[in-house]
Amino acid sequence: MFKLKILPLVIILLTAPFAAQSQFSITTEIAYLNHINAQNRSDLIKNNIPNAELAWQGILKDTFYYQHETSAAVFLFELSNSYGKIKEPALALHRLLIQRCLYPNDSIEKLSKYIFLEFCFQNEFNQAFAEYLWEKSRKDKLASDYQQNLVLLMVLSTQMHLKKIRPYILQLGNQMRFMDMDIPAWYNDWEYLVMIGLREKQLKPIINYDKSLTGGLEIGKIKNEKIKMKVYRKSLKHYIRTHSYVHAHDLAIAYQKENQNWFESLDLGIKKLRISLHL
Amino acid sequence: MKLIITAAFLLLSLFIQAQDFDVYRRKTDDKVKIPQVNQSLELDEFQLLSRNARMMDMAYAMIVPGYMHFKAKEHKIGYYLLAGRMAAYGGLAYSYLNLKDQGESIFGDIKNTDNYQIKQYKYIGIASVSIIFGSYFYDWIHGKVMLEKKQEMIRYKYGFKLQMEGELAGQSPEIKNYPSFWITYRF
Repeated sequence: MFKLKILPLVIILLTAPFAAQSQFSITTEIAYLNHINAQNRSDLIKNNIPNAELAWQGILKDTFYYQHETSAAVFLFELSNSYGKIKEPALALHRLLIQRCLYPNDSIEKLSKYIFLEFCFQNEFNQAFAEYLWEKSRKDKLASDYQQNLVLLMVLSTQMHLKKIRPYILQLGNQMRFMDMDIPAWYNDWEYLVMIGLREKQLKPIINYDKSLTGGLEIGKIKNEKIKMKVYRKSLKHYIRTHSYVHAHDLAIAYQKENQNWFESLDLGIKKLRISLHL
Repeated sequence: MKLIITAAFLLLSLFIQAQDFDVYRRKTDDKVKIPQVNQSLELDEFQLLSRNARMMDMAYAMIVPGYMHFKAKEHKIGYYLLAGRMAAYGGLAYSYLNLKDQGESIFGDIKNTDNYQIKQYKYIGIASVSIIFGSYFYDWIHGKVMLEKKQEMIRYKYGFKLQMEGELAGQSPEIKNYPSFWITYRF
């Protein structure tokens, strides 16, 4: 005998899958990217960028599935084209580099050398560095292990020293943590220095990609005096801004031991006063 | 004459249905009804799709400079219009007060032709009035166009993608699904 009491439950169970408004599939995203790239309309491309980035996050989340799929490679290639068309060479190059390192594809490799080099030159890289990026990310030189390729991608991405791609490198760093990988010591340093707001130009001499290095960044051991003082100042500023006064106080004591000029002393004095007001 | 005009307006109000008055019977409460949102839809897109350029906005745009552009999420132009209109109000006040001291008005004929400054104040006043009206019409017309353009772009994008999703699922976009039964319950 059919019980009327369970009728609402049956209706809900039957209709629930249709009620969910899911994200679009990668095939759809590729088709749309292809469609708008061909139209060369920057307004349409700009309008679609947030959706494409969302789709990219989806790929990254299901990375084990997509690493053997051509769709991820094609998607990133099309997304790179989109960025190229809206005059964002930094993002275009980074998307192409991700495709080359994480989702290598023979056809795209043959097709994209000229585009890759073009994006490199648009980012003011010289021929030697552009060739270095291309050679390092060549399919036949990549490791068979996805995690090793991800580390390579991180190295190349940080070596490009482009401010615009910082959030996307951090996104890849989170992916490393999500995959429970061993985080290289240099990446932790890079993440910290980016967090405190150090410029790319100042990052260059500090980051040491040596694999044997372990442990965190010790500001006092930075060889370049000018940058060392800068890192102290920026760190203090960061911790005061985030209301971490106890840590800022400890840092101020370490900073005080360094040789300072009158401007740095004055700056430290003001910062110490601000810290003391909260301790 | 005034009586006739007043009576005409009163009579007119009996026949016309203004856009911003709810004359239809409301079946559901719009504020409670929760729409289904696609995962890819951003808040900005959702807000743009649910906004329309209505008659009341013409009045709001008069009071708040750049209102239509703010509504269409064109904040930069909105702030430019706001600043431009504020400057024009300032210019108008400056011109009006200076001319008043001299016993002149912005649009009247110049009585004292010897004072060359009066002409300058008049130009400032006329320019300010032009900016006020110009910025208002620009805000209303351009803002409306921008809103519609943005809505078209969002509809174009999701139209394409939803159609693709239907095709991928083996469902032809022309075939619509209708419920097999319908129950209505009325008090």
